[in-house]
Amino acid sequence: MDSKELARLKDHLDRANFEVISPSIPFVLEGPDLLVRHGQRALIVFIPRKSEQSAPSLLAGRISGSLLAYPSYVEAVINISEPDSSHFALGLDGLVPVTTSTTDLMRFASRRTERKSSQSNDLRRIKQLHMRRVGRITEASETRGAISLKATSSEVAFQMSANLRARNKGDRALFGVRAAQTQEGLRLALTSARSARRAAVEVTHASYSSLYQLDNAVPYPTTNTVDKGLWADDMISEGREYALWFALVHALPKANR
Amino acid sequence: MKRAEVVKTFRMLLGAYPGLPAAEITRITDEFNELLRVASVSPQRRRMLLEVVHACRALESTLDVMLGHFGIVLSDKDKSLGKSLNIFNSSAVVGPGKLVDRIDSHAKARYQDLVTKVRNNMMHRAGAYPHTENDLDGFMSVIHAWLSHLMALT
Repeated sequence: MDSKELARLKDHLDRANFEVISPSIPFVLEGPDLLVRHGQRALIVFIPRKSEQSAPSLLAGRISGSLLAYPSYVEAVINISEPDSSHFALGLDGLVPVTTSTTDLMRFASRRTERKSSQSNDLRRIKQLHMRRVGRITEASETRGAISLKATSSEVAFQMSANLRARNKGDRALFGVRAAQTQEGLRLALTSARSARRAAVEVTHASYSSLYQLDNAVPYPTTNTVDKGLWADDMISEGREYALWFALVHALPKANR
Repeated sequence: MKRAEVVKTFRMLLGAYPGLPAAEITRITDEFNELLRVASVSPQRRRMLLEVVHACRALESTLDVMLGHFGIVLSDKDKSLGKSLNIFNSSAVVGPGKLVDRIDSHAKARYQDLVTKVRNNMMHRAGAYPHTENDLDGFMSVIHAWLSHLMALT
C-alpha cells in the first residue's frame, strides 16, 4: 500500500467517525501503520509492505515488537485490501486477526469483543519479562556508553553469524547488515550506503520474529534466550534510540539456530 | 520521529485506557491539545517554555490519574513529579488492573535527572529557558520515553 492509499483508508475511517492517526511512540522504531479508536476500543492496524509480502516474518516481527510496546488493551489487526494478497493472508492466519477490506476493518473495530483473560495474562507476563530485558539493556548501554554489552560468548557470536548466513543463502549480509566475528564478539556493520535506520528497522523486526512467535495476537517467546550484546558502531552513530533497539538482536535463541 | 505524532498517539492511547474517569481524560487531552497548538507562539523561547509547561502538566496529570485508577491517592501537598515517580518505582503500582511491573530504578533516576530537575529549574528560576531547539528536543524525548514506558508496562 502506498502513501496515497493509506491516506484514502484514513479518510474513509475518519468519515465513518473512527478516530484515526498514523501513530508513533519512541519504544518502536517502526510500528503500526494506523491507530484506530472507536469508543473504548483501540486497534493497531498493520498493512503489509512490499518488503514484508516477500518476507512475512518481518511483518510478524513488526507486530510482535509493537504489541510489546503498546498497552495491552490495544488490539492488533492486519488489514489487506489488495485482492491478490489472499495467499499472503493465509500464511498469517492465527497470528492476529486479518481483515480484508476497509468495510471489514470498520466492522471489526465496531465489534464488542474482549481478549480472553488467559491471553491478557500471558501478554502481561511476557511484557513484564520484555521490559525487564529492555531495562537491563538500557542501563548497560547508558552506564557504559551506547551499546557496550560485548558479546563475550563466542558461541553466541557463532550462532548469530550462522543464522545470518542461513537466512541469506551463504551471503553473510542480511538486510544490509554484515556480521563479522572478532575477538570481542560479533561486530555488525552496514554493507552499503543504505540508511542505517532502515537496516536497524529490518534487523530489529527479523530478530523480534525469531524471538517471539505470534499466536492469537500474543507474542510468545520462542525459547530461552541469552543476554549477550553485539556491536553496531555504524548504527550507534545514528542515535542512542536505534542502538537500544538494535541491541535487542543480542538475545538470540540458545538452541536450534 | 515528529513530536506532534507522538503527542497525538499518547492522546489517543490515554483516551482508550479502560477505566479512567472521562472528566480527567478530557482535562489531560486538553493539555495535549495545547501542546500541539503552541507551535505558532513567538518569540521562540516563550514557545519553548510553554511546550515544557504543557508537556509537564500532561505528564504529571497522567501519572496522577493512573495512580488514582490504581487506588493510590496523594494529598495535594504530596503531589509532585518526584513523589509520583517514587510510587511508580514501588510495587504499589504492580498487579491485576495495574501495571505489569514497576519503573526500574535506573529509568527512575534518568527521569528524575532529565525531567524533574530540569522542569523545577525552569519553573522557578528567572531567565531559565531551553537554550535551543535541540535542548527542547532532548527534554521532550525523555518525557515521551517516560510516557512510552508507562504504556509498555500497561
